[in-house]
Amino acid sequence: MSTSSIDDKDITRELWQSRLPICFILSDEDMSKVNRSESPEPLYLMLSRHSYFPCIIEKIFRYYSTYYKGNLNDQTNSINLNNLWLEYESIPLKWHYPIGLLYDLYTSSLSSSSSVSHLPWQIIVHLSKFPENELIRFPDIESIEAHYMTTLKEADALKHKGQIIGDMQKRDHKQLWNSLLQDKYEAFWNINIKLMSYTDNLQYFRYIPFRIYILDKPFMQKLFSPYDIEQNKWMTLYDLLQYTLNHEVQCEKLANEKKILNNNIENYRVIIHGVQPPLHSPIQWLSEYFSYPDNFLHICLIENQMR
Amino acid sequence: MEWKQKIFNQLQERNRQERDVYAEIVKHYNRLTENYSTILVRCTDQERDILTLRQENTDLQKNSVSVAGLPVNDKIKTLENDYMKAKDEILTLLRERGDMTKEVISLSRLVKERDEKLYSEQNRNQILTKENVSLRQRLESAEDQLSALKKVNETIHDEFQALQLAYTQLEERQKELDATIAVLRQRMTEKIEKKCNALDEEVKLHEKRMEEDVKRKLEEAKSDFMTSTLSNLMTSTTASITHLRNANQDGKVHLTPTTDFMKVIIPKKAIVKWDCGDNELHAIQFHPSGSLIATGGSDRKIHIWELNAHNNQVQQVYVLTGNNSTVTAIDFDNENANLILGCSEDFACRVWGLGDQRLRHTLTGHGAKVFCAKFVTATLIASGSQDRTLKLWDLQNRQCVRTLFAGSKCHDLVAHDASGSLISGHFDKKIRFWDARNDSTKCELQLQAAVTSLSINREKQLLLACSRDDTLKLIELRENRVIQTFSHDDFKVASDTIKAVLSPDCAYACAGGNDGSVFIWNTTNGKIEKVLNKEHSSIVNAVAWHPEGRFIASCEKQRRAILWGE
Repeated sequence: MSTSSIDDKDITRELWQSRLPICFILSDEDMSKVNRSESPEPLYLMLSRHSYFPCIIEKIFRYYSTYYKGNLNDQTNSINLNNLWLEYESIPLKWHYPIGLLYDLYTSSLSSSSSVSHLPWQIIVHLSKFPENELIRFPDIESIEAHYMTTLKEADALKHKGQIIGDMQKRDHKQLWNSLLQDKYEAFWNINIKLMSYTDNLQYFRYIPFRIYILDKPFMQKLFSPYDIEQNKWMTLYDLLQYTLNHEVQCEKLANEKKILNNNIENYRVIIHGVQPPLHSPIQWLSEYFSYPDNFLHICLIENQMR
Repeated sequence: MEWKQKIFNQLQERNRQERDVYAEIVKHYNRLTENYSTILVRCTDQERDILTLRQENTDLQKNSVSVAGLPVNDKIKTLENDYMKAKDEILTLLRERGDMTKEVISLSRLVKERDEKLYSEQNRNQILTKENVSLRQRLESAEDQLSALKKVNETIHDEFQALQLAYTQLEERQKELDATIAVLRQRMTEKIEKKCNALDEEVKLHEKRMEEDVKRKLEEAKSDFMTSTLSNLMTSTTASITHLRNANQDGKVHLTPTTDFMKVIIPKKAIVKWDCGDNELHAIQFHPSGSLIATGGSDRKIHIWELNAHNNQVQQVYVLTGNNSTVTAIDFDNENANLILGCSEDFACRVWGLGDQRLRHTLTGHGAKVFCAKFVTATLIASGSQDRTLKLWDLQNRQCVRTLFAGSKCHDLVAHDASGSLISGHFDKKIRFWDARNDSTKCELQLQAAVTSLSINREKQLLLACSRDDTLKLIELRENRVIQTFSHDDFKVASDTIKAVLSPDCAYACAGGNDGSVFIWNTTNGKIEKVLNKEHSSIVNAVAWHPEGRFIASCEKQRRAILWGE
């Protein structure tokens, strides 16, 4: 079988080398406040899918602030780093989601045209009028690092009851985050490989860390074991989705929700990392090699358009 | 695992769409924007610069405009006047400066000359002071020398005077001594005359008595026919005279006979024959007094025999030992007559004292048999050896003082004078005359055959050389020339060490032949005088003439020594 030649390392390397072309355009009202003769050109960047927007927020602000040189010293003016926010198709983008997740979730479902190509992803940069009620201000890098570490610990708690992450030293945590920032594949996976090991004499994780995102809904996260002991078989992606959707519908029904979720998997496209993996893929393998750097499987369910 | 493959393919496709297509474009776009922004910056800077320059320009124009208001011509004139004045001033100042520099140059030249003069004067001054100092020193030293010389002169003068006095004294004494000597001599001659007269009278008396005896005995002998007793009586008379003479000596043989008592006769027959030891005899020699004979031979001993002239007996007095091999030659010293020198084939010469028969010295140093040795003086001995050298030995230091390299075996040597000049005869047919001052031969005389012996007369004028061509040669020493050659049909020189001797008055030459005969030649005419044969039975090795000339002693190889006389 030719598929045996595919090494798991090839897949993780391909994942790591993901890039999205993003075009940052200044908003119209901010454009009018530019006090230079030239208007700023759009900023094009190739960003990694598993990175976070706060990592490049300094860069974006530095680029646009050159056009507001005179106004920055004016305190009454609202052009400052704290007021910077990003928007796509009128949706303010959440800071703590990985860029790839945001792209998959919003472009697939909100495209006005039916064509596939949404690239380069055009994001509008706002420097004023921060939407207070929709978005949390998230200005510096240390905060995103803390968020990353928290997510990582949560994942390990699900997988190994937190044993492995607790045994690791602080410099290993630092190395994970820094290699993520500096795009160092080898350094990252040197530490990450420890988090993918097994404990308690199990050949699999205790529970799979995953979140399922559907548009306009908060994400879904359940306890799910990758191996069924009674039936003595490995769980697949299909099993996980089915279980989660059913469980969610039950919760909705209990809560007397008006609109019940459609739990037919046929109606959805399953997207992880921008690709649609086969539904019979073993979930244990996906968790080990197909997770995001924060060790979670962020799965997007996109409803198929009604024809 | 086709799900893996599917996932991988989808990932590759995704990357291709999302990344590969846009990566290059975004990079180039970013670069363009950077360039654009830098150009903008430069543009703004340049605009700023232009603005400032324009500002400056307008400022300058304003300034220039403000100045142009004043009347120009007057200003120009005044300026021109000022300028001309300044120029003139400058010219005069320059001229003055030129003059000043000229003065400076000349003055400096003067200064230099003065300095040089001063310097040379100083040098001269130094030299003169140095000369002065040195002259003073010389003067002092000369004065010192003068005073010293004066002192020395005085002392010498004093000494001279003292010596003069002493000399005059000694002169007087000498005169006195001469007078006394003359007186004593006269007395002595008178006494000797008296003695002679007394002796003559005694002799006469004795003769008278003897005549009476003879007459008596003749009468007695008329009955006997013993005519031979006459001759015995005749010889005993002469023997009694020598006995009287010998009675002067008190056992120690000191006196050497003067030429007054010498009376050389040709011996006619053998008087005494005796055997020495039991060996070959190589050397025989008379003591200068004539009363002792020394023989030496292969028994390694020197036998001293006393000659009793009364009864013509020869008695052995003592034997000198010490040699380790055959004795080749013997010599007595002529000055004090109490040392005997024997050289032997054990490479050494030995000196004994005659009075105490004690071995005084052993002179070693030769490398081969010593053939001959002679006393030059009582303390200087010359020896010649088979090792082709001659050595001079000093008895006081007991050392060899000179070594003469002759180049050929030395068979015999004689001392020419007391300073050490020698004459030696060699195997290579040469007679060498040696100089006393250096180690070289003064002269060499070539003969026809090897020289076996040399004999010199007392006045050192004639040299007799015996050579292997069976001849004897008489050499006159003033011109080193052979004046006579002696030979005889029966005379054969048998070995390299046959000795020939001159008689004490040089009238005769004597040598022994290999058939046992002793030959005597007359030196004046070179003819044979006598042949004494039938007594020796083998080669006659050596002959010696009695110092008074009355006897000849000869020794032969077969241990027999014979004394020949009247």
